[in-house]
Amino acid sequence: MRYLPLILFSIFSIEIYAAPMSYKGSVTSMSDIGKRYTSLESSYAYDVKNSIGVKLFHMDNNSRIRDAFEINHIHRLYRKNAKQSQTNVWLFGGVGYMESSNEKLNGDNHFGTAYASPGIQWDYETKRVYALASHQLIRGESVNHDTTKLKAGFSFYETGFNETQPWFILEASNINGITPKVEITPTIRLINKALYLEAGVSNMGNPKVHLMYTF
Amino acid sequence: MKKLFLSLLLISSSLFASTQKIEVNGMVCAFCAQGIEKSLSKFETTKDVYVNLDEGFVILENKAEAVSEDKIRTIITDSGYDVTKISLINETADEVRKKYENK
Repeated sequence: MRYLPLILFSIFSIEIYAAPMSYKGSVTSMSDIGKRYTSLESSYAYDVKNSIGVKLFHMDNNSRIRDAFEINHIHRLYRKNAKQSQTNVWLFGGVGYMESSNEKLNGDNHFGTAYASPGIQWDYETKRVYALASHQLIRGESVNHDTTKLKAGFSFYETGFNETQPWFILEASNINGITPKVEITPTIRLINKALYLEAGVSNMGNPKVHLMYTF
Repeated sequence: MKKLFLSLLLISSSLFASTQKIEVNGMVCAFCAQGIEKSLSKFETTKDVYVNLDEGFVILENKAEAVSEDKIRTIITDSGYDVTKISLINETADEVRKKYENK
């Protein structure tokens, strides 16, 4: 039930894309829904290489819960458009405020801290192959939730612009202090122009859903 | 006389209608490339847009004269892609669509 607002927001948000940001003047929104990590973010591309946005996320490793809000900026540092591929390098970062509960720190059940979250992402894509590597620091007082993610996959077949394209994507991720070890998630990705859906279950038994829709 | 005038009007509008083929690098994903389709569809002069990911081109069929190449390049660049060539073709967007989708 607590994920319902996030799902509804994903459905009714406008101009939602898979990439960290889309074309100039667009609004990009993404949401991740999982047992340990749930996020909702939205950003506005004020020019072709830069966007500014807001992000909410929730982390839970059963004994520690973190809820955070941040304002962030995404910059496309590099893009190479070839006839059959695209390569990108993104820099992103934000500042925010995080609250923690269910964890005793210095004898307190609750604490809050400001944090910074600089990160970098590389991705490469053709019509049949996809790869991504990203690392983000999430640092504040007594907080270190550095996040590393690797994704790679392939499309079962090429499709036309208006057809549904299925992909198999394998994701390996780790959130320091939240996931006990590297979490591996095989996912099926379906893209049909305006609809982008990714779903899978990790090796830790955690379901993950990534849903985007463009109006 | 009225019929003649209307006929001449129809003929002249079709003479000025034009279709441009825009070759684009980087279009590897429908979800991302739909920004191009949306942006080009917003022109008042746009009659039809066809995106072909496989061949890497976009067809822009205009109701009237061709859109300036600078304007097209700006739209495509602002969408995050690179234009390699723009040319005028004699087919409509629908004719090109049927040709490639019936292969």
